[in-house]
Amino acid sequence: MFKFDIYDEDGYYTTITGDDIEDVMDAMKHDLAFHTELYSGEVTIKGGKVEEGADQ
Amino acid sequence: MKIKLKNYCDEWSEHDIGETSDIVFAVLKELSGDEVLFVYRSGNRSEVYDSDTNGRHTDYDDGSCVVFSEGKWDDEFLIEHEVKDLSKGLEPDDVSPKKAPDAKANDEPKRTRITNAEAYKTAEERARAFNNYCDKCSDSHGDCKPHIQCHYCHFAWLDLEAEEEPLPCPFCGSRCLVIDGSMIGPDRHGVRPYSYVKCESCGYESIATNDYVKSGIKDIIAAHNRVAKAVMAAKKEGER
Repeated sequence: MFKFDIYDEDGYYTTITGDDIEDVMDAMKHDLAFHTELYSGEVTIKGGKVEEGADQ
Repeated sequence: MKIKLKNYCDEWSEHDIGETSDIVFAVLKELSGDEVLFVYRSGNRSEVYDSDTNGRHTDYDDGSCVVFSEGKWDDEFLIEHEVKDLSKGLEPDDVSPKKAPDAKANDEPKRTRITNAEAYKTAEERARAFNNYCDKCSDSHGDCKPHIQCHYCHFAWLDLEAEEEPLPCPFCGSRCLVIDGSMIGPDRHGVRPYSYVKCESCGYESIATNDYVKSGIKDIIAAHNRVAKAVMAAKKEGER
């Protein structure tokens, strides 16, 4: 599965997960659009492919 | 010379360069190898293609066209070439046979790319470029000159003297437009001015209200670019 943590200037913002990278990117697109606070400073996105249950 | 076209259904067709019953082709730039940038014109419509499928095209109903080629994300995208008016017919030079690639050409980089920032270094150069392009720009609203106050145009960044041009959409790779001066709300914060960079293809919008971005459109383009870079980095991570 894929897991990405999004951080804005103030720190942790949200996490997006999914089994398909296209679906995850689509979710990220909708999460980033219109969220003005994300555009006020640096944005960092950390993550990638993770093994099932790796974060548990 | 013949040229191969690939349509949206991935079907190839072969055509002679030159004028047929209602089709005009003009090779505008030889990119490298088998790639050429060319114009396809049918009736009053002109479309510009890169002969490989990475190239984008645009339509201008008045028969004129702004020629540009846009590569993939990692190619730092944009080349603006020149403005040609095809409404008066093609000049002989426009239909030039393609030279055979020589050994030296094969050693050269596949494609020379130059960004707007590199091409227009001074405010005067940027202002001139904006005027040239925007006269022909028909993005969404037709000639964008009357709409200059809302800057609904990719080239608005030139007029605004922003340091950066908006990067392509990190999600689909298409060109992004700059929209400035709209209003958002009313909500609990009232009615506020906001500006955004919008993908002209998939609709992704990076919105910034003036609550967050104090110094206007220049920072809004930078904000869009920051997020776009973060998304592209994440995308690369996901592909590993």
